[in-house]
Amino acid sequence: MPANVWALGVTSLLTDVSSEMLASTLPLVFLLHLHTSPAALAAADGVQQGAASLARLLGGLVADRLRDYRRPAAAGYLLSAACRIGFLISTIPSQFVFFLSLDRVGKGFRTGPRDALLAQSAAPGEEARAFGLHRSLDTAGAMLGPLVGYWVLGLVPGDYSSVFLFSFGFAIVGVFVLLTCTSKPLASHVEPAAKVGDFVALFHHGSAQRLCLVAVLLGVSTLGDHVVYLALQRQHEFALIELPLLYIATPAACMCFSYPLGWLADRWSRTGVLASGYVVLVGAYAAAVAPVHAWCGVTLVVLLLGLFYAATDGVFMAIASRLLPQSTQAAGLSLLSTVNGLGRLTSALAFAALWSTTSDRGAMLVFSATAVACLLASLLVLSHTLNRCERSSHP
Amino acid sequence: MTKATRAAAFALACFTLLGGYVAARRSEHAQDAVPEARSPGQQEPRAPILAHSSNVQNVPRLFYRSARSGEFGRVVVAALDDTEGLRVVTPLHCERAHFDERGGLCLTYDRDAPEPNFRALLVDSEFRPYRTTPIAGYPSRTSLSRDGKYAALTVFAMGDSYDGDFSTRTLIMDRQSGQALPDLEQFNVSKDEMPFKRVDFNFWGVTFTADSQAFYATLGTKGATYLVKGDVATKTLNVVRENVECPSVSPNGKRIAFKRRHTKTGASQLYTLDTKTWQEAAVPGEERHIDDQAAWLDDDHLLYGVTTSGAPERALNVWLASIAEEGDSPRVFVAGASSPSVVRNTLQTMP
Repeated sequence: MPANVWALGVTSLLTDVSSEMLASTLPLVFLLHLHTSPAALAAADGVQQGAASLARLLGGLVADRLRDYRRPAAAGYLLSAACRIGFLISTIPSQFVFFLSLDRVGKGFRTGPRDALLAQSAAPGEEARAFGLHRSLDTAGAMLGPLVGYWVLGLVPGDYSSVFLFSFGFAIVGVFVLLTCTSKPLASHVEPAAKVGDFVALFHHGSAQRLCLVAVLLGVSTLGDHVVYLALQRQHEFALIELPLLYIATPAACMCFSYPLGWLADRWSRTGVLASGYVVLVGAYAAAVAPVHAWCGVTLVVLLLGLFYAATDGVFMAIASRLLPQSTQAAGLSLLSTVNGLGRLTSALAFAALWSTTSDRGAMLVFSATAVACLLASLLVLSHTLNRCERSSHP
Repeated sequence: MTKATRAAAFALACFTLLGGYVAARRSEHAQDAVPEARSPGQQEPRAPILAHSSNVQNVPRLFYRSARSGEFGRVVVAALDDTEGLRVVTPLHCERAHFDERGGLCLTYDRDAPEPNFRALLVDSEFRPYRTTPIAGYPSRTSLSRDGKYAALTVFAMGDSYDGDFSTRTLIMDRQSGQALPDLEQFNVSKDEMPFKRVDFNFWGVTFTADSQAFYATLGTKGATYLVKGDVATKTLNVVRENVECPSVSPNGKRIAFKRRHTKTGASQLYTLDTKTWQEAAVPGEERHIDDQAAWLDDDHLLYGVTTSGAPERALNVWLASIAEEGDSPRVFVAGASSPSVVRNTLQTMP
């Protein structure tokens, strides 16, 4: 596996340790230190979502324009790292929320350039595997983050500034790894910087348009983890306190499956693995409300959600990177990531409305049916797109 | 040096620095012992704490939760006139607590256990728990009625909505038996003499009136907050005023200290109001964001916790402010402290 892929993976690992450490600690900071509800930390705010989406698109655009994927990605990582310092000096909830939004902006900005760098660094025909390795290291970080956070708090109870300092340390090492251990992929030496015309062409590109449609459909079928976990809890009525364990167990499952499924996608069929992932997701929805023993339900949900993320996230990026025009890779990937996010947002709101009117099972049933319908539509669109690509010559 | 080696060296340097910092902070905290078992049955008889320091039990005193190294999270009793000179560190660990001459209410949880095990402890004047009640979530506010009959608490619990939002749960309990009255959400609320009921009601910040006949609390609904006055016997609450949070009744019952939230910034400021005329006044000289249910030092002075950034012993302080315009400007009263309560009467044992 190319050095770039490993380096990007390690950076993501370190950055995720940093982020998840914060994500698990900030609610405690709000509850125990600021004595206020952590509701403000939830990412549902429209302005926050809008800012993060804009940042994502901008990151892709800038990267293609400069024909440099490393530095825009590093800029995004650096902004997120700087936000940890912001947390160190924050005293009121609104300040924490501001820096959290800035962190999300940084995260959005780096997604397109980073995924484009991954796609370009991978050997031809091994993109899904490369994404799989990257996602594997990424989720390993997500798993370790809360553990490091709890460990630090165990050493110095009540001292949340130590957690922020640790979070900053991990983030800054991640930026260092990115800047020093990655190099420009060969392909980018050849491509000239993207022009405005290239971006306009992206919007008119048939494959890109169809990929966007697929991204939206797949986003709509994806419920957030916390909703699935909550359905699970309501089904089995176990202590709400066990919730953090789920947030560690699912990344662990995803970490194990990411590389093998990426390998399978390259070897067998990327579309096949992607489709299987969404079938598995429906299985996870069913498992969350199934009348089985509590531990059976939890294990199933964790495994199925882990499989889902492993089979879909990186694989879709691999599919997209082959179909998108080379000159606007980063912009294209960030566009897909953005519309997928908007699809998820829509489904979250729709589910909320649905949940308040029907039972848990009813809502999951309707949602699963929607997911299946979206999946079938996506497969139709994808196979159409791939067939067209098959007919025209491609590297 | 290869690229990977360089990165590893940088990482090592960073983590060594961080490790050193934590080790330094940890050696400061070395005396923070794990809290002793606290259920009534397991309590071993020990020498009375305050009897040894008989000086502090006979003077007007301040109870607070310490944030200082070596005693982090423990309740400390100090003489009001000499808070640093005459002070006793108790073995009681609380997140939030309130005391009077008979004992107090302590909200706590197990920091080191896999399950937090949130609970409310009713303790006697020797800080021994005589009743332990599990509570629904993270400690937020505590208060006691002056006649020794009731104790009130507010906690943050995960709400019932799908988005995992936290709501507050407020209970009033009988101080003798530990028996809790129904949650305030079960009380009948009226506003402008009409029944007032909404699904998203949240109650917090109870304070009892000077004659212990009634109590005030905060009601939050649809983004607005109200001051409500309640009656324990009839289980009713009446909306009295708007945008008044975390009320605290003064010793003579003539004033209520509260915080008011600015709708745009979300920051809160300290105010007082007159219970007869309903005239409001900001606390002079205190314009910072204050998020605490204030305690009264006396009828003219407030004590409140202020949280700033940094390590806990610097970030948490109890400040003193005069409510009179011509009084002194606010200043730090006790450093490295939170959750203050003032007791002027001498020790009494619970009947």
